[in-house]
Amino acid sequence: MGRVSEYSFISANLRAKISRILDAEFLLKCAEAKDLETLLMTFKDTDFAFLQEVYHKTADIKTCEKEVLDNEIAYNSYLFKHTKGAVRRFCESLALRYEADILKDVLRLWFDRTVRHRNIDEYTPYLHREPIVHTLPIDPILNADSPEAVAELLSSTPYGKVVASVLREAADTETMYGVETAIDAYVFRQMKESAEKLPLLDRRIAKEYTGLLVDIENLNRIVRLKHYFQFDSAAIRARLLPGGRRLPIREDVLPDGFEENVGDLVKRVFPNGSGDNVGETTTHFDRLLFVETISSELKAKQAQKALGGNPFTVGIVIAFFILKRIEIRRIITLMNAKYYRLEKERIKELL
Amino acid sequence: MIRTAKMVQLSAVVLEKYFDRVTRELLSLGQMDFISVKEVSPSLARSLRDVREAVSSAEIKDLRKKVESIMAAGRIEYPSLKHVDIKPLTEDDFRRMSDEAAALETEMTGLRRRQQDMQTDVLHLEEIQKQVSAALRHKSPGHDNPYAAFLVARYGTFDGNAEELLQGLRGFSCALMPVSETTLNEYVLIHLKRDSLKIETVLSQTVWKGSEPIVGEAAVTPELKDRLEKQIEKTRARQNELKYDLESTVGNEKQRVKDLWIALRVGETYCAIQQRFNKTEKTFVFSGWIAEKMKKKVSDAIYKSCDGDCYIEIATAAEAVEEEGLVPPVLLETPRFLKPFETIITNFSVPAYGTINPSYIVALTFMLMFGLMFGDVGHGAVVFLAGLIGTIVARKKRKADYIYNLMCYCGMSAIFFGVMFGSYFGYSWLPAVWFNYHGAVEGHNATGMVQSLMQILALSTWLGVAIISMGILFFFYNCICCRKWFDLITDKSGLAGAVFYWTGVACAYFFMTEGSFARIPSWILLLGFGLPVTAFFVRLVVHSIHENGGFKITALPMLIMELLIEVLEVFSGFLSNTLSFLRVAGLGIAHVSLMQAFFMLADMVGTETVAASVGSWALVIFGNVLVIALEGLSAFIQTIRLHYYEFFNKFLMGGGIAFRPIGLVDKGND
Repeated sequence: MGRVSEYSFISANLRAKISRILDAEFLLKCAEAKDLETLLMTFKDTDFAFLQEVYHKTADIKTCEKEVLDNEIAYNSYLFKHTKGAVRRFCESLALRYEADILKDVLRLWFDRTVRHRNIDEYTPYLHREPIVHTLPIDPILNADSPEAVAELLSSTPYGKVVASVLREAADTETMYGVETAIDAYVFRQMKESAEKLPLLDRRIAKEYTGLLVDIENLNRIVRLKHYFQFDSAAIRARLLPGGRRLPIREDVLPDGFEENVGDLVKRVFPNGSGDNVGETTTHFDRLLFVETISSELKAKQAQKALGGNPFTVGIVIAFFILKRIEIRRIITLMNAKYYRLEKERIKELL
Repeated sequence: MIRTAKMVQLSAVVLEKYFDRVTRELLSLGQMDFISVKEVSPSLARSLRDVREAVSSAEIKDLRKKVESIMAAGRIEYPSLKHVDIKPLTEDDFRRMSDEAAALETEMTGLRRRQQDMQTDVLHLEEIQKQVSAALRHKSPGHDNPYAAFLVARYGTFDGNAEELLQGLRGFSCALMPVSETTLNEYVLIHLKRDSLKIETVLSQTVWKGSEPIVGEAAVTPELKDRLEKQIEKTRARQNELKYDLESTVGNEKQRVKDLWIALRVGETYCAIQQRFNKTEKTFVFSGWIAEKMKKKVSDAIYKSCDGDCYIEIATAAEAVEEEGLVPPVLLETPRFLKPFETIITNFSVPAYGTINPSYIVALTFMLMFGLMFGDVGHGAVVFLAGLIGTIVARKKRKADYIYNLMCYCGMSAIFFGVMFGSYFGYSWLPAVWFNYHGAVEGHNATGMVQSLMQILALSTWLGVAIISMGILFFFYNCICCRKWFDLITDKSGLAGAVFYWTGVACAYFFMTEGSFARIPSWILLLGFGLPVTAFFVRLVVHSIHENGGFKITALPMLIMELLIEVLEVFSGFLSNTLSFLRVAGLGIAHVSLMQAFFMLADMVGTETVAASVGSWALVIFGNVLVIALEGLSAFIQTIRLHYYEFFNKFLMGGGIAFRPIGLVDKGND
C-alpha cells in the first residue's frame, strides 16, 4: 500500500506528461520544415508552442534554447515537490546532471576568459542561474581570477572538493577535460549512492539505470581519449568510471593495444542490434555522433522497459527523465539545424 | 440518417482537353474521396501513367507553409475559401509567388536582425542590472562586498554619435546612460571589471573623455539601479516596437499575403486532385467514392464540364465490394448542430459501413445522463455560458469548438433537470416539477415520484437496463443491416444475450421486490437461461469447426470449459454494466450532498455580524464554484465512460474508414 500511495500521484502525472512528449516520428516530420519560423509553427499544438512567441519577440535562437532548457529544469522542482525521503534524494541526484552541466558551462566560460582571454559576455546571459539542488556562485566564478579562487567560491558546495585538485592542472595544461570528468564522476557517485538507499525494487531499477549511464559515459570517454587525446588502453582504463553494467573496467574489455572500431566495440558490449543503423565512423565527429545516437537508443530502450513494468516504482521517474531529456535535445538540435540551414537529410541523421 | 450514408463508386474517363475543367468542378464540389485506379484495377495499371503537374504539390505545400509563417508573424488570420476563383498554378505563377514571399521574407529578415540586436542589448543590460542589484543587496558597511568588486563605473563626455559608441560596446555586458536627463553629452558607463581592458580599447578608439574609473562599492548606487531599470524598460519598449513594426510591415501587405495563401491553397488542392488521375494516350481516368445522394450532382457536373463527351460508370457499394474488394468509406450524415455528439462516437471508433449512426440517440442519452448527475439550473447556466464563450472564442480563432458545443448542450440539460428537480444553485427557489432531489437525499421535504435514496438508486438502475436494452436492439438492427444472421442469434449482444439479460433482469426485479423469484414459472427460467446457453454453445462449436476444419470429439471438454467461462463472462458483464449506471445516482447524490455540506458550513458561520454574513456568502459561492468545476468535470467524464463501455460496446461495429473527400479547407499548417 505504501508503494502505491507513494507513487500513485506522481506516476499518473508523469504518465500524462510522457504522453505529451514529442516522439521521433513527429520530430522527423518537423525536420521537413523549410526554415526556423516554419519549424516553430509546427510546434503550435505542443508543449513548445511558446517558442513561436519567444522568437517573434526576440528573434534570438539562444533565448529560445534557454527557455526550453529552463522548462526542462523546472520539471525537477516538480519532482522534488511530489516525492519524499529516499526517492526524493534519488530525484535530486538525477537533477545533479543538469546542475553539473551548468557548472561545466560556467567553468568553461571562466576558463575561456582567464586562460584563453576571450570575451565571454556573449554567453553569460544565457546561463541558467536558479538553484537546482545547490546554490552555485555563478557570477563570482565567472569573475574569479585564479583556479584557487574558483575552488574557494565552490567550497560551500560539494563541487569545491571535486574541482580543487584538478582546476589548477586544467589551467596549466589548457584543457578542461579533467575538470569535466571529475564533476561527472562526482555526479555518478551521488546517483549510485542515492540508488543504494532506495527500497529493494526501486534500487534494482535505479542501479540498472545508473549502470547504463556509467556505460554510456565510459563509451564517450573511450572515444575521446583514444581518438582525440590518443591515450593508450591502460591510461583510458584508469580514467573510466567504475559501476558500469556492460562495460566493466577490465583488461579483457579494453585490452592493451586495442584498435577496435567504436562501432564494433558497441556491438560487442551492447548486443541486441544497438547501432545497426549507424553508418561508418571515420571522423571524430562521426564517432561522437555515433556514441550520442547509441546513448539515446539505449536510454530510450531503458525508458520503455521502465514504462512497461510496475507503475508504482521509481522507474516512471527515470523514464520521464530519459524521455524528456531526449525530447529536449532533439528540439534544440532541430532549432539550431534550421537556424543554420542544415540539409534535411543531415538533420534527420542528427535526430 | 439512421444508418451511415449510402456510398457509390464513380469512375470516369474524360478527354485530355477537359482535364482542367473536370478538376475544377470536382474541387469546387469537394465531394469525392478518390481511389487509386491502378490499385483497383491492377490489369489496367500497365497502360496507365501518372499525371505530371507543372509544379509539384510538395513545392506548393512548402511555399504555403512559408507564407503561413509570414502570416503568423503578421498576426494575419486565415482567409475563407468560399467563393474563391479555382485555377491551377502555372510555373510562372509559382515563380512569381515565390518571389513575393521571398521579398516579404527579406523585409522581415532585416527587422529580425534588429530584434536580435535589441535582445542582445536587453540581455547585457540585465546582466549588469543583476550585478548591481546583488551588489546593493550585499552592501554592508565595513565588510567586503564581492559583488560590487565585479563592477566598474566610468563617468565621461562623448561628443560623437552615441550609437557608434554603443555599436562598439555591443559585445559587452555594459550600460551606457546619460548622467542626467538635462545633460546631452555626459555619460556613465557601467561594465564588468573583467572587461576593463577590452572596453578601454574600445573607448580609446572614440572621442570618449573620461575620469578615472570607479571600482567596487563606490560605483554602485541605488540611483544607478533605478536609472538602469529605466534604461532596460526603454530598451524593452523599443524591442516591442520592433515586434509591432514587423507585424505592421507584414500587416500592411495583409491582402497580398492572404491572396498568396488562397492561390497556394487552391493550387495545392488542385494538384492533389490531379495526382489522383491517371493518364492513357488521350484520356484521363479517375475513380472515387461519393455519397449516393450526390451522384446526380457530381455526374452532371462532370458531364457538363466535358460537354457530355465523357464516360461515367457508377457502381453501388455492394457491387464495388463484391467485384473489386473495396471497402466503402463511412459518412455520418449527422446534422451540423449534433456534430459534437458525432465526435464522441468517432473518437471511440468510426462505425462500420452500413451500420447504425447513433448520433441522434447519443445526443439524447448524453444529455439525459449528464442532466441526471448535474441537475441544477444555476450550475447548468454557468456551464452553458462557459461553453458559449468558448464556442465564440474558438470560432474566432478557427479552432475546434466541439468541446464547447458539448458544454452548451450539457448546460442546457442541467438547466432542464434543475427545473425538474427544483434546484437553483443548490436552493429550492421553485418547487420541483418531477421530484425534489435535495429532499430525497436529505430524507425529508421529499415530493414527487422519487422520495428516498433507494428510489434514486433504483431509477438509475432502470436507466441502465433501458440503455443496455437499447444497445442490444441496435445490435439486432446492425446484424440485420449487415446480414449477420448467425451473430444476430448467438452473439452475447444478439438474441441469445438479450433473452439471457432480460430473464436476469426479471429475476433481479422479483428478488428485490418480493424476496424471491418464485413467481416466475420455472419453464420461463429454463427457457430464459437454457436457450441462450445453448446458443452460446452452438457459437463455440461453429467457431471450433471453422478454426480446426471440422469437429473433433476430443475438443468437447475444452468447449464445455469455454462455455462455462463464456456464461460467467456474459453474466458478470451484464451485471457490472447495469450496476455501472449506479454512478448516475452516485454523482447526482454527491452533487446534492456537496452543496448541502457547504450550506451547513455557511450556517455554522452564521449571519449575526456583517463579517459573518460575508463569510457565509463567500462559503456558498466557493461551494458553488467547486461543485461546478469538480462535479461538472466528473459528470462529463462519467457520461462519456458510460457511453463508451456500457452502451457502444453492445452494438457499435467499429473499424469503418472515415469518408474524406478532397476539397478546399481554410485551415493552415496540416
